Amino acid sequence: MGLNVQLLFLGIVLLFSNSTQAAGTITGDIERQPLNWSAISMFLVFVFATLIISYWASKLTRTSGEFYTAGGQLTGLQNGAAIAGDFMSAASFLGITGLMFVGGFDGLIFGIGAFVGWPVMLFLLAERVRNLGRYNFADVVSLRLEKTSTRIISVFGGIVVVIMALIGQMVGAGKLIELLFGLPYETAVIVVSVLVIAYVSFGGMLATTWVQIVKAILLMFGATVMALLIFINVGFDLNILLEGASSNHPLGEKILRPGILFNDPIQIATIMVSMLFGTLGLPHIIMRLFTVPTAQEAGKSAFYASTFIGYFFLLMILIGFGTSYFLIGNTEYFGVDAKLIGGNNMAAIHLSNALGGDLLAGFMSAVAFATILAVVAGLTVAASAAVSHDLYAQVVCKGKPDPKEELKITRLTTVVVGLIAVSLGILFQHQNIAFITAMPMVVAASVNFPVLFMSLYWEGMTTRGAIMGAMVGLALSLGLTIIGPQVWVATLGFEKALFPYNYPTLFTMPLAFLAIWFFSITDQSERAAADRDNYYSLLKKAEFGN
Amino acid sequence: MSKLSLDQDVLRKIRTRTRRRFAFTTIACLFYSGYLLGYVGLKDLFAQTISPGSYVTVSILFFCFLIVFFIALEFLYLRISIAEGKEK
Repeated sequence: MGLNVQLLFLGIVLLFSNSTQAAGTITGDIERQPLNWSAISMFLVFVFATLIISYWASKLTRTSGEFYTAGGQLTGLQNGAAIAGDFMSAASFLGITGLMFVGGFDGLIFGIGAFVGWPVMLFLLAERVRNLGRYNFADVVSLRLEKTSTRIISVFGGIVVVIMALIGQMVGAGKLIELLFGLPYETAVIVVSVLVIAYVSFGGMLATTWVQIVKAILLMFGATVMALLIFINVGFDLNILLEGASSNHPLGEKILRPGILFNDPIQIATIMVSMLFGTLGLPHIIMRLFTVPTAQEAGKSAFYASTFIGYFFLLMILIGFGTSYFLIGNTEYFGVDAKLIGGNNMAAIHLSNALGGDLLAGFMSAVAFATILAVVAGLTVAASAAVSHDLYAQVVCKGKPDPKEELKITRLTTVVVGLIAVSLGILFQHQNIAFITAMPMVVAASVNFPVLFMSLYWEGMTTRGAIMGAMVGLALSLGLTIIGPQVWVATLGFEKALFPYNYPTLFTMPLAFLAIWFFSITDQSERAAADRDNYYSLLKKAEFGN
Repeated sequence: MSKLSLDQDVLRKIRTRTRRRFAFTTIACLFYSGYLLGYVGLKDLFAQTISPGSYVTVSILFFCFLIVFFIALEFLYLRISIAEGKEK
């Protein structure tokens, strides 16, 4: 999802800002397309199939544990495919392709940033987190620390990430579906929400998992077909593709190297840090590690996920440069204003039309819609677990809830989250949401990741250190984003930003670590001594699972 | 449970695993930060094509290399972990 959120941000930037105009004459604004019946028909087939999956999953989801973790019996391959389905969004497909259409190679930076989170997830977190937790990352953090306060702070960090991600997804969904299907914004938002409520409230994590797996397969299949058609058209010669793309593009061979969209090294560094460490702190991604039975399978999940995601990004090189090769100069895809019809985010769909006609374009549009459903479903499960498991079962009921009541609350929370998602989607419809869609990665990297990492690897961390670190990370993430270009200039209308970077993670994450360290080493309370003592029993369990 | 009460053999195994985790993470982060060099120190190198007459730039090649390299690195890490699990 990290990637989903990030690229939705990019999509929104492409849709709402003038930043792409710097790249030349290729630019575009959002405009609703005519009703696309082939795409709608294929999407209805997907919906029918996934509703059957949800019905099947509902028969197997009888307890809250089964709801949160799909029974914990998925294989590494299944979970890896589901993670890839959660992570490779419509916006990663449409957003990266749109960015490459405008700025060539630079568009790939978000791809590599999100991808590299997975090896690090495997090396540092996957096995230890799986051995320590039950349902989500709050379980892991609260294991050695004072349970109620650390669980509340973990839930708060998780909910902030999920809500901001949901806003980004819903607004992005409304806009993209308007573009792809020609459906009104509100209809799109409501359709997404109703379907997600149906998947999640009945089938829980099991239905969500299979929706994500089906979607991952469809997306990779569609991208593979597009890449193959591109290769066939250029005689399986990458040089011909790149030569044609650069000769068509107004910026020429510059699109084949870094530097068109991004020039400031610190901006690039802070984007790279946000993408990498944000991925490691996303609650709904970490939650997926508990759907497999062992730590080894959790490790395999991360490996399979990165294999699928890596393959997808390799295809994006062909598809991204393919847009310049096949679209530029083809008047069929440009309006009278010389802009790409529907805006730059439509580059991938136009390319699929150029390569495979209405059939392929309809298929890829349907996949984009399906993708949004899969991502929102993952977020909804995470939000439901945070409320019903962490707040209700662990905080309110002190770890001894009535199982039937917990499941009922979980399902009710799902419906409430769905309604909130619709409301936020409509509320933020006309707002500049670029900063909100960038926030989940920044908050995840600056709040969730430092606390999770230190609880796993530092003997000295105390409850006070964890809480202060999370608060410092959250306050700085919000504060620096507000005085940064996206809010201070683009939203509030000031002339110059007080903080120059859109992604403050390069600064906020180290300061969160520093706060954890400082407030832990200065903590001489009895609780602190117990926190430190707990570390070694946790360490043994983290590595050996018992 | 304190550090001293942990079996020394268990502690040694944990330390070995932890060192491995950090070694692999360091390798991944070093190569990842190499991507930044395309925008600063090695800008000219990353802008070059891989051979005369080719349009494939070092930056595109490096992107592909990173993806394949990271998957290979993960595969190696998993093999080591699985082999260690079997020994146990």
